Amino acid sequence: MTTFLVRRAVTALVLMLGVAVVTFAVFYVVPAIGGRTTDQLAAQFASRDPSPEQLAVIKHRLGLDQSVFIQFWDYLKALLVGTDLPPGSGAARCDAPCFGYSWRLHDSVLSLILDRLPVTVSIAVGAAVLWLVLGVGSGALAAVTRGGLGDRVVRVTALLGICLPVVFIGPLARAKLAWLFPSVTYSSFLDNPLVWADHLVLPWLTLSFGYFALYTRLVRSGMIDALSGQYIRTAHAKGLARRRVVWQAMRVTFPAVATVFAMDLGLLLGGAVLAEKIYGLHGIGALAQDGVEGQDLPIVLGVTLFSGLFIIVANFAVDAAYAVLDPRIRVE
Amino acid sequence: MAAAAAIALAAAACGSSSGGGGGGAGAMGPGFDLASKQVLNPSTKTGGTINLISSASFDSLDPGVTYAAQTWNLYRTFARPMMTYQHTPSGNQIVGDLATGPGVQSNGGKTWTYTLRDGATFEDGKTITSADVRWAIERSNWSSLIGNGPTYFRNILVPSSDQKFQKLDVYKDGDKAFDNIIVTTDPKKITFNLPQAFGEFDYVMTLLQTAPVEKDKDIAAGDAYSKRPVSSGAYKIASYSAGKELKLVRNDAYNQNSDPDKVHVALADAIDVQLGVDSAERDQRLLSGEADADVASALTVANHAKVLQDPVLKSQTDDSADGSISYASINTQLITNVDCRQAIEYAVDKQTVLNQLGGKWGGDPASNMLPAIIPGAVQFPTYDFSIPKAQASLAKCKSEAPNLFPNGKLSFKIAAQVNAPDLQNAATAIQSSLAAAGIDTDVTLYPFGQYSQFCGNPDYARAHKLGMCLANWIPDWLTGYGMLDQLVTKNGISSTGSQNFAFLDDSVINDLEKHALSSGDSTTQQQDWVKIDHRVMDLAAFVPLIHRHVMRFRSSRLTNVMINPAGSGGYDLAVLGLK
Repeated sequence: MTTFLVRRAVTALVLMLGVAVVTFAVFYVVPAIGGRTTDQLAAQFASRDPSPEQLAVIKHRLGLDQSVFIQFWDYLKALLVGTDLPPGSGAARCDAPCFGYSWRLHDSVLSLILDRLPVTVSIAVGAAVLWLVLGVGSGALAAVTRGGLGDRVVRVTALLGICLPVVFIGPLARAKLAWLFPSVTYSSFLDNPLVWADHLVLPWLTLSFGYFALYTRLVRSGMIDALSGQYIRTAHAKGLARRRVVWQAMRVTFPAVATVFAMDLGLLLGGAVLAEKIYGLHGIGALAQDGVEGQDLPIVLGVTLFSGLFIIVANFAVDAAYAVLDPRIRVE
Repeated sequence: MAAAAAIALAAAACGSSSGGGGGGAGAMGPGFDLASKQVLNPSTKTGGTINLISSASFDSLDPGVTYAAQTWNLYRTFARPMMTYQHTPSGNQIVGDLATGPGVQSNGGKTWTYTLRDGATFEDGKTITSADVRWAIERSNWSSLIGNGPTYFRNILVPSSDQKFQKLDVYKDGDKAFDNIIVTTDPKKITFNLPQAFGEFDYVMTLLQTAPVEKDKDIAAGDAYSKRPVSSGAYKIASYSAGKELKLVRNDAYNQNSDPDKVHVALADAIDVQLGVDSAERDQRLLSGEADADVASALTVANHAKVLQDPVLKSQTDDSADGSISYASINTQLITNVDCRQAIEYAVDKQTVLNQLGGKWGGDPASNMLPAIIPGAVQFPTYDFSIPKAQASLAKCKSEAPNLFPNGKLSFKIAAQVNAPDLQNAATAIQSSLAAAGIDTDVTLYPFGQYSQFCGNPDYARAHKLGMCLANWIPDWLTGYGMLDQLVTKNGISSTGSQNFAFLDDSVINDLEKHALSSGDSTTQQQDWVKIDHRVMDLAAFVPLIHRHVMRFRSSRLTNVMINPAGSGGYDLAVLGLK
C-alpha cells in the first residue's frame, strides 16, 4: 500500500513539472513561433506609441529580454523560493510559491487565486454534492426499474442534462427562478451557511445538471451490468434482502464513479468559467478569463498551472481511494 | 461660478443623515431620458451606500496609470485633479478642483500657472503642495510604471526631439530635468513652461495624472502603491479586490473648506462597486434594484425592448449621446486615390449600418466627424448613399489609378474587433454595400487589446491590404482637439500603435491644428477644428457611421442624478446621493 502511494506521489510530482513545462511553452514559446515578437508582448503593457527605450524597460521588467530557458528557470525558481521583482517604480516581492506577478493588478498571482478560491470551492463542492447524490440515486433508481416509468423519466432527464449546455441552462435558470432565488452572490459560509447556500443554489443547479446526467448514465449502466451477474442471482436465490442486493450492485460502480468524480471536481476547482461569468461570481475561472481579456499573461499562466495541480492532486486522491474501494489494487 | 446643481447641493454637508434604502426596482422614476437635461431627484440628504456595478474591470486603480472610460468618472471621488468639470447635465465647463481656477497664461500660451487651494490635504492629513502635483505628473509620464495611461504631458511638456526624456525614469534618475519645466518653488503655485503654445492646457489639467501623490509614500510602497493609492478626494479606498470589488468610504480628513464650489459633496457614506459582472447578470441586477447604476457602460441591446415597454423601467432609463463616434477609416496609404475613397463614401448605406449598431437607440447617423456635443461643431451634409455616384467615382478612379484595380476590381480587407459584435455586423453590412458598387472586400477580425497594433501599423496594414478599420472613439475631453488630434492628424500616426488608422498626414490639417492650439481664443479654435472636419471629409479618409447614444439605467432611489458626458461618460458619480 505504502509503495503504491509513494509511486503515485512521485508520478504526480513528475506530472506537475510536465504541466509547468507545457503551460510555460504554450504562453511563452508558441506565440514566438507564431510570429509574435517580444516587442509586441511588451507593447501591451506600454502607453500609446511607446519608444524603443520604454519597450526595453518593460521587457526587462517582464524578463522578456532573457532567453526562454532562463525565463523558465527563473519561473521554476520563483515557484520554489519566491523572487524579488525589479526595483524602481515597481519594486515588489513575490513569495514562494510564486505563480507569477500581475503587473496590471499589482499583486502576486497566488494571492489573487487564494482571494478567489473560496468562491470556486463553494460553487464546485456544492454542485458536486448535488450531482453526486442525485446522479448516483437516480442512476440506481433507473437500473432497478429498468424499462419502467422511473427508468424512462430518469433517462429523458439525463438526456436533457447532456444536451443542454451551461450557457443555456444558466441564463434560463437566472431568468425563470429569479423569483425564488433573487440574489446570486458569494457570502462566506462561516458568516451564515444558510445565506451562503441560498445565494449559490442557482449556480449549483446550473452546473450539476449536466454532470448529474453523466453520473446517472454511468451508475445505471454499471448497475444493470452488475444486476445481471451470476453472483447477484446467487444472492437473490439465497434469500438476501433486495436492499442489500441493490447495494452490492451499486458498490460495483463506485470505483468508476470515484475516478470520474475526482477528475470532474478537480477540473471545477480549477475554475467553472461559464457558471462564474454567467452569475457574476468572482472565482478562479473568472480570474482566468479576465487574464485572457486583459492580456495578463502571468495570471493566465498561473491559473493554468494551479488548475493543473488540482487535477493532479485529485488523480492522486483517486489512486489512494482505489486502494480502499478495490482491494485488488493493493495486491497488484 | 458654481453650477445650479452644486448650489442645490451646497448645504449637503449640513444635511441630515440616514441610511439608504427606498426606491429601487418597482418604483416609478422621474422619467425617460431626463438625466442629460436636468438634475433628477435633487436632494441634500446624506448617508447610505451607493451600489455601483460594471461588466468590466479597472485597468488600474492608480489614477496616474488608468485609461479606461469608466474609471475617470469614479476615481475623481478619491483622487483630486487640478481641474475638473462643473456638475451640470450635459455641461462642458471646466472649473478648478485642487486649483483655484483656470491657469494663468503668459509667454504667448507657453507658460501656465495654477494656484492650489488652501487647506487641501491627503487622507493622512498631510497638506497637499505643488510638489505633490509635480511628482504625480512626472511619475505617470516618465517612469517604467506599467500601464496604458494617457501621454499628453509627455507630448506637450517636453520637445519631442529631446532624447533624454525618452529614457528618463524619475524613480531611478531623479527629476532634476524638470526643474525649469514644472516649477514648484512656491508650494502653493505650479508653473508649466511648454516648448510650444498649447491653448487647451486647462483640459490637460483635468486628467487624473494631476491628482497629487506623496513622493515618499509612493517610493516606499513600490508597486503596491498602485493597489492602494492615497486619497486626496472626499472618499478614500476602504478595500479593493482587483477585478472583483472596490469599496470607498467617506474620507474624514477631507477639508470641505478647500472645496468652496462643492465639487466633492460625498452625500453617501460609502460607494460599493462590483466589477467584472457578466453584462446579462449586470442588467439583471440593475433592473431588479440590486445595483443602483452602472459605472459607465450601456444596457445590453437585448434589454432595450424590455425597459422601453415597461413604464416603470422606462422612467428609470436614459438614452443620450456620449460624445463618441463609430467610424470606418479608409487607409490613405493603400487607397491613395481620393476618387476611390469617395466611391467608398457614397457606397456605404449608413441606415443599414445604424440598424446593426442598435438602431435609433444606438445613435444618430453621422455625416461628419465632429459630433454636435463638441462646442462649435457644425453638422454638414457630405456623401449621401448613392450607388450610381459610387460607380461614377470608381470609374474615374480606375482611369486615374489603374494600379488600384489589379484584378479589375478595387479590393481590400475590412477590419473589426473580435469582441465587438455590433461593429462586426456593421462591417458585414458595409461589405454588402460596397459589393453593390463593385468593390470587393473581406471582413477580418483582430483582438480588441491589440487592434491598433494591426490597424495602426502602417506597414502591416499596407502589406495585408487593410483598407478599412471599424472602431469607436470617445474623446478624452469634449473639444475638437480631444476628438480629432489622434484620429486625423499626424500626431496619431506611429510605426506600431497609430490611432489614425487612415494614416492621414495632410499638411493643411496639421497646419490648422497648429493654428488652433496656438490660439488663446476658443472661437478661433472651434472654427479651425470645423475646417479640419471639412478637410477630412473632402479627402474621404473616414466614413463617419454614427454619433453614438448610450442607454443607461438608474435606480429610482438615487438622488442628484445627471449625465455629464464631459469627462465622465455617464452619470456624474461625484454628486450622487440616496433618498
